[in-house]
Amino acid sequence: MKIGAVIKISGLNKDFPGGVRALRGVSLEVRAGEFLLMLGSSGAGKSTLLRCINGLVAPTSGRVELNGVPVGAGVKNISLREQRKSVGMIFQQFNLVRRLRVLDNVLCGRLYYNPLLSSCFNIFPQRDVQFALSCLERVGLREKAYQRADTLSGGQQQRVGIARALVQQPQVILADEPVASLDPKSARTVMDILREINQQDGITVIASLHDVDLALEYARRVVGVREGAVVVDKAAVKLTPKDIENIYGGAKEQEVYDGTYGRLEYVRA
Amino acid sequence: MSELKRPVLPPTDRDGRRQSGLEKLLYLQRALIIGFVLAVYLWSARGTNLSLPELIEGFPHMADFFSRMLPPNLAILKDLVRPTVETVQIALWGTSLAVLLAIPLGLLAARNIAPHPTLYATARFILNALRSISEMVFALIFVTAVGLGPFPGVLALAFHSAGMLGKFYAEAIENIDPGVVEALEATGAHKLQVIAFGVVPQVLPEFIAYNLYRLEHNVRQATVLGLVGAGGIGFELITSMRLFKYPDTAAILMMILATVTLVDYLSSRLRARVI
Ligand SMILES: Nc1ncnc2c1ncn2[C@@H]1O[C@H](COP(=O)(O)OP(=O)(O)OP(=O)(O)O)[C@@H](O)[C@H]1O
Ligand SMILES: [Mg+2]
Repeated sequence: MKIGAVIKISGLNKDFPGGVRALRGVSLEVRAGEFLLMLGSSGAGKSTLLRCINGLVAPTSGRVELNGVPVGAGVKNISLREQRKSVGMIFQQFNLVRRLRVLDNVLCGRLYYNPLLSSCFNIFPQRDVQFALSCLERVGLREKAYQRADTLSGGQQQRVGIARALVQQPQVILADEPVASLDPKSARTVMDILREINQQDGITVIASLHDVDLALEYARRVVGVREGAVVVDKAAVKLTPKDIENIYGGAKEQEVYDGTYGRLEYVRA
Repeated sequence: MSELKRPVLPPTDRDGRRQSGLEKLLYLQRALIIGFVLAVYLWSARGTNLSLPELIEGFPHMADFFSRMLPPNLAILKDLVRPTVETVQIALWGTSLAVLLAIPLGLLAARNIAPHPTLYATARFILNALRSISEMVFALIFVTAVGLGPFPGVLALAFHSAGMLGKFYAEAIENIDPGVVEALEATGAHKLQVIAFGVVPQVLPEFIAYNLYRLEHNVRQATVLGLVGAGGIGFELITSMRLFKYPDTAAILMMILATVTLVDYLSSRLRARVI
């Protein structure tokens, strides 16, 4: 194992039932503290790749290692749950428990650390509650702690999602199109928070994005995925228009993201 | 450059009746289906001795029967209090035990939660079996097994309702937002924690509503359990009819009507509050 590689993906393939080949021979190494943005058109396999990292999707072949330990293999007595604890995840649709309060949603990130029985009855130690509140403070939502999650705006819900990931005290945060359902201003707020926790806490961030400009602005490293394979992998500053073409399938079609309605449009170039 | 094709709505067929061979076949198929359904209904009418003349002939008898129920014997109302309370008690315990039985069965019978396909299939089978045996059949079985009285009535309601509720729970669980479950799994939470935080809050309003509906149903059902000796006011009902004490029967029916109405009212008030 190379020192500093938090995540090492080698020869990863994923075939879904029905003959869809979502990933073909993906190899990728991510060092601690990186801020990596993944680009690729719809169906390229970005979500599948992210979900292989925390074992939500089981690869057909190849492997993912977290700190040198294969994910979900139960090797060295390290359970999949323990590995997931160190990997926070945030989602395009936020995936909060709508009927629960914001604070309860954040405390969900502490479930791994707490006894089964008491936590199932929503009983958490005071220090966990304090920690959850301070993570809410971090994303600027301390005063919303006791509201129901579904009373918040989309941008605020995504920040709750980030707080839920933060209380896990993760090494890595995976973000699957974290801003695709948000207006441009909220999108920026969320990206700023992700950048801040990456720089201040040294948490490795791997996110997929649709918006090329946004990606170029925030990423330090860009990985381009096309038809299940990594076609571009370089520092963001070195990215050329040719690379973008390569990722999005050449000059004929360019995918443009319509942020207002959260849908994709194919525009003839 | 390729032109994008605009979708076009075909013009109406001005010649009217012109039909393609396929369309004619479709009409024939429809006619055959309607004919078949009609045949089944007529056949079933013969099987059940359905007859309008008989119904009309029967009217005087019915009128005679109802006139003999009047006036209701209100004097027995005070003796009906105890069996009425017992009826509600049977429904309460029957429903509650059913809920306890149905929770694990419903979880195992939900495709998205079941830990193993074999457990899923087993739970589905048990739920189907429980549902296909009606309360009265269960009551007969339990009266034979544990003797006369309200307790076999409670068991009868519990088992049949567990089948109904378990199926509802499973359906409600299968309709939850899978993203939430996934998000909780991604935190490293235990399966039971995922259920407690991801599943329970999502199904809770439906869960409470189903249980209250079932309680209402079971109060109505408990009024007839007495016919087979499984407790409740049904025993008074059948006795009064066997002894031709029709004014008593009328009073008992009034009591049942009042009880069911009251329980339905209270239950719907509660339901409105949780939804
Ligand atoms: N559970 C599944 N079952 C079958 N096929 C799937 C499943 N999940 C993804 N796929 C297929 O795998 C391919 C990659 O999907 P994936 O969701 O990883 O793409 P993506 O890059 O995240 O796309 P998007 O930008 O639209 O989110 C697609 O063709 C998709 O249809
Ligand atoms: Mg995706």
